[in-house]
Formats: sequence, structure tokens, C-alpha cells
Amino acid sequence: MVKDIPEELLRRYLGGDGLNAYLLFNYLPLDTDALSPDNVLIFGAGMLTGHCDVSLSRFQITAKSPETGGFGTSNAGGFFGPELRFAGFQHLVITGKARRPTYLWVHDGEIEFKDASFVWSKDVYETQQLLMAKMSNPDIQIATIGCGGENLVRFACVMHGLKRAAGRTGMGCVMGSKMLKAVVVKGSQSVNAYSPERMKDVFDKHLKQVTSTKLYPVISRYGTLTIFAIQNEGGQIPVMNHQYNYFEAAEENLEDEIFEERYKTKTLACFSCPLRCSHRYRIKYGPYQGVWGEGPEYYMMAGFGPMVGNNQWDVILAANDLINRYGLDIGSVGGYIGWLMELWQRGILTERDTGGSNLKWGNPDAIMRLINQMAHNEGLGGMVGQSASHAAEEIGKGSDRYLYQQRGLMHECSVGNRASRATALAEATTNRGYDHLRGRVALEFFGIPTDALAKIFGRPIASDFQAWEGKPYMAMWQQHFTTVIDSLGYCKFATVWPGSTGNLTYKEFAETINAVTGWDVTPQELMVTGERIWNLERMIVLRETGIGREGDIPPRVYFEPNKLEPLKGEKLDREEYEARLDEYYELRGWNKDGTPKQETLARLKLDEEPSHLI
Amino acid sequence: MSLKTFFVQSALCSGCRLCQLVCSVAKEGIVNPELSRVFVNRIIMDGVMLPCICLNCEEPPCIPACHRKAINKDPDTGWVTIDYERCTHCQLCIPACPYGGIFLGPQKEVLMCDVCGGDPACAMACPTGALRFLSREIGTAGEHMPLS
Repeated sequence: MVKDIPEELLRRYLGGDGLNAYLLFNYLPLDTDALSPDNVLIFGAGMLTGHCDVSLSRFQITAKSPETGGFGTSNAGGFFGPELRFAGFQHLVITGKARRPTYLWVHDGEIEFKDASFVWSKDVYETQQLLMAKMSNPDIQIATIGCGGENLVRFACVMHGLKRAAGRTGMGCVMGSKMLKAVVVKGSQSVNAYSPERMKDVFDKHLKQVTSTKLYPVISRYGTLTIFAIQNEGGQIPVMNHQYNYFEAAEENLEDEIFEERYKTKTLACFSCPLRCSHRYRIKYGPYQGVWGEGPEYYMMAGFGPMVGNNQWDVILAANDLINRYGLDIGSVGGYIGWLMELWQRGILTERDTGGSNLKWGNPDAIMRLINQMAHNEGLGGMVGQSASHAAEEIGKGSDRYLYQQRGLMHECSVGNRASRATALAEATTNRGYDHLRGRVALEFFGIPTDALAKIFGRPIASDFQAWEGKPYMAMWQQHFTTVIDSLGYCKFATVWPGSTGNLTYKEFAETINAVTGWDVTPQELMVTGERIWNLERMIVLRETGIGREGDIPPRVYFEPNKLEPLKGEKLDREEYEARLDEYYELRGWNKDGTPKQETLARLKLDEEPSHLI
Repeated sequence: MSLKTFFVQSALCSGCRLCQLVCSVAKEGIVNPELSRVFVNRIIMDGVMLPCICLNCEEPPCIPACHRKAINKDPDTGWVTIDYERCTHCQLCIPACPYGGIFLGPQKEVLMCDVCGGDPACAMACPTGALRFLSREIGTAGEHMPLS
């Protein structure tokens, strides 16, 4: 069934993340199990995705999460989102379950169900190659699962290309539960703009803007790998399952320049993106000789470096290739492997539990074996893949003490922000679980003068990232901002999100929206739109899990002091955190239990949801 | 004024297709990479990105291939363009082009670059320098082009 999206809804929720949340809230039946055919799997291109502006490549996948039982949502770049628009669609809402492996063929206003038996059990690379060969078209865009999703690993992701991943919250597991191997799109339709002339002018301006920043030459050369040294040398990287905050062994080993010299073979970009942060690589020598792939990001580098006690690039790159081929979420896989290794360190796990593997820190064979086990549902890794955070109950023996999760979502394997204030608060209070993509407030880390911060945020904000003044507001501001980005389809690296003040912000978003739609959107309206979507997502979380305040508290380690310099002794003070959480709720117009007040919902026009306008 | 044409350095191409986007906006007023007069062949599994566009040949094979004499090379600028008053979209020029620089749009229309009158939008938008519009005197792309 094909429906038009009413303009009223577009203006209220934009697209991508926002409209996906609206569709989930409206279409998901109450008390639905995440793996039941009734779960609703939604693909959504951003409202501006495919249009003529920089870095408009993103799409969002949303469903009830099989990893958490709550709000499942994840965002990816590449070419899939724009192609969906060129095929004539902004969102796909998929319910039910196929009787046999199936893929969707979406092209120029048509959607066909096709037999996917010939690619079932094939890895992510091979699946795409075979589909391109079958359809005699190398230019189709494919979102697919690997055997992680097929085997219902709770944190299986959806892959596009070799590395673009809608990674977190197990959207690939939902696809697997529906026997949906892939969604294949190709379109030749146009995306029209209200004013092409204005759009062209806006594009020229934005292109100049994002290619003139200090960030540009760095990110277009090293991608996010460049963040590693900043985080490690700043004492803000999780080491050996969050036991430490600095990894000395990484020095002179895990460096972006070493990757560039020894492994990188090509620089690539997503659709319409001048930043080109993707890399192809090939391992030329050693035990992993011949392994090739795309990526990794900082996330992989930290998650399979310090987090698991490894300082070898080869191991990170080989693990990256395996994970991408299987379609697993790096954030959770790295987190669970780190957790299992700490259990080994503490004697909670022994060779009897691991099937003979030695889970000492950094052991490459153990890392690869656990990834293989997770993907194929075998042994200890398989149990973790099927149980996610409930694995601690299976293992027992106090293992839950070392498992750091929020709302059932494994804590990100590469993020440790207990020394910061706005970032810790913003990341910990996100709706899907701890989430740097919604909460990282990079602007707090650069010692920006208070008057400059006041200009951006309209109120006094402490310049020091370890001070609390103004930080609850800064956290809320960032959450709305990232929500608008994900709903419009921009990549966050083209915006001020990574801390590059010359990049795009609400003003530029409004310029593009107005050129494309002819509306008169203002930055103020967009901020309210972000708040509306954020509150709707909170309504989904509350409806599905009932978890409010308790889910907004970061894991135990955040309240324990850092063990190493720099930032030795730093931690969040629990009492102070609770007080600031109250302040944050008050700013939001929420109750102290983390639920929105009725008048807040009314102010945001959410009191009539679900409104079933589509 | 020195004569200009396109220089392609595919090793620098990141495959972002900004060139296609801005081309469709410049020529058609809409966003549709399939209506572009430049096309990036993205051989994604191999990581090969190959931008194709009319290179304004010295002796363009598309000219004799056209039975309607609709393709012309301007003797002053060296630019090769289609006269759409004469073109019947018969597509004979497409296989004649050795560089794959002439394209077929969604409505089976023949699409060929006209260098935007000398200020091509695609080269302006290319962030990597993979596609440049430069004096022919610079020689071959790989040897003499400044790296971005």
C-alpha cells in the first residue's frame, strides 16, 4: 500500500528519525514481542536526503528493539537513503513475516517481493555482489543482513555497502525475524525543489562553509580515526571493559597515520558528501594477509583496541572485516567481548565455560572466535548473541557487576565520558540507551569562552567540561539538535556536532528546508521540532518498557574514579548527577520520574498521539 | 584565452556524486543524478570510482556517428555540444564515444555535457580535484594536475 505523507506531518516530524518514530508509535500494536511478525520495521530517508546539499545521505531504521525490548533505532549513510528517494519513497513500513527468504525490490514507485534463497546464508559483501549480478546492475543500492541477522543475534545490524551500518539496537535481528534478507532500491525519479535557484545558492554556500573549517582537511584524510589520539591522550577512552581510561600500549601502535601508510588503499565518500571519511584497506602481510574491507571508524579502533586490551592494527582490521561481513553491531560486540575478558581476568569464566579459549586481554584468536560464535550461535559467544544483557543471568557468579548497560543496551565499547558533564548527562539520558550519536556535546571540550557559548546557547554555560553550570541545558540542546539532524538526513560531521563551529547548524538547515519546500521554517521552530520528536521517542520508551528515570542513570563505573592520568580520580558524583538530572527534567517539563508532563505534551502537540494521520 | 577541457583523475574520486547532483540542478532545475551530463561509475566492490564526461576530443568520433549532424565542435573553444533542435535521440553517438561520456536519461533522452558555457558546475563542486576544468596545455591529468 502506498500513501502520501501529509505536509502537516512532514512539518511536525520532518522524516528519517522523526517520522520513523511517529510511524512506530502509530503502527506498533501494544505488547508486541520484538521478534514477532507484528513488530514494525521502518526504513526512512531523511526529509532532505537526496536533495542538493552537502552530506545529505542518511537514512534511519526503526522498530521495537530485540536487544532492549524498547525503542530500536539506528542511522546509516551511503547511497541507500537517496536512492530510496529517487525510487519515489521516503519511508517503508514493513510488517508480518515471509515464509521463505525474501528481498524487497523497490524501484520507481513499485515494490516487489523477490525470492532471496540464493543469498540466504551469504555474507554481506557476497550478498550484494550476487544481487548486483542477478539484477545486472552495479548501481542498485542494497541494505542487507548477514548471518548475524539470519541467526537472530540480538545485536545484528543492517549493512549497506561494505561498512555503512545501521548498527545499534538490533535492527538486523528484526529483519532476520521477518525472513527479510535485503531491501534493494533503484530509482530514476527526480526530487523536486520549490526553488532550484535558491537551493543551488544554499548549496554553494554550505559547500564553501564545510570545506573551510579546520576539521575538513583532517576528517577528509583520516576520518574519525583521528579522534583516537585525542580520546586516549586525554584519558577518556574505555580500556579493558572500562577498568582504565588511558591505554599506554596504543602509543606508537594505534595511530591514524600508521593506518594511512600501511593499510589504506582508497578514500571514499557517501552521497553528496565532500568530507569523504571512509577508507578502503587491505592487510598486506602477516597472519591476516589479504583481508580487505572498508572502515574502520574510531568506534571500531577503540572498541577492538583498548576496550579488549589489543594494540595491533591487524587484529582491529581483521575483526572489522568479520563483523561487517556478518552484519553485527560493533558497539555491542566490542562491549560484550570486553565484558567476557574481564570475567576471565577475575576468574569468573574459565576454559570450561569458553570451550578451551583463553580470553586473556588482547588475544586475537579469542576475539575472532567469539565473533564467529556470536554470528553462528555457537558456544559462549552464541549464548551472548542470543541473550544480550541477560547473558549475565546465564553466567551468574556476580558477572552482572561488570556488565555495563542502560535500558538493556550494551554500553558503547568506545565511549567513556565520566569526566565530562554535559556529554555524560546527554548520552546517558538518550532514549535508546547510552548514545554518543545523540548526546556527545563536543563543544564542551574545547574550552570555548563563556561569552561565545552564551551566543550559541542563549544562556550562561561553563567553559570547563568538568563544571556543571548550564550543562543540563547544553545536554538538552544537543539532544534536540542531533534529533533534527537525523530527521533531515544530514551527516553529523557536516554540522557543529563534532565541535566544528563553522559547520552547519539550525540556520543552515532552515535555509535548505525553505528552498526545498517553500516553507518559512525558523531555527526556533526546528528546535521545537527536535524537542517534539525527542518527547515522542520518550513516549515510545515508556509505553514499551515503563523505564523512566532509572534508565537515565549511567552505569556504575561512571560514579567510580578514573584510575589513570590524565583525569585520574575524575568521576561523576552520584548526588550531584541526580540533582542535575532533576534540573534537566525540569528544563524539559518532565516529572522527576523521567516522564513528560501532560502540559509539555500538549505544548508540543503530542497529547493527541497516536493520531493516525497516515 | 587558452582552450579548456575536463581532466579526470579517478584515483582522487571519492564517488560522492556531487558532480551529478549539481549538474542535474544546473541543467534541469531538479535533483536527479540520472539526468546528469556527468556520471560516476561506482564499482563499489572493487572500490573503483570512475567519473565519465565528454572530454571534448580533438577529433570527436561522436560527430561522424551522428546521422543528423547534430553534434558540433566549436572551432574557437574546442567544446563539443549537441544541437537539440536537430537531435532525435537516436543514441548512435553513445557507443561512438570512447570515454563513455554521453548518457541516456530515464526518458531515453541523450544527455551530453555543454560545459555550462565555460563554467561547469560539476568541476566547481568536486571536492577532491578528481574532475577539473583546465587548460588543455596542462597535458595529461595524472602527471601534471595539482593534487588537492
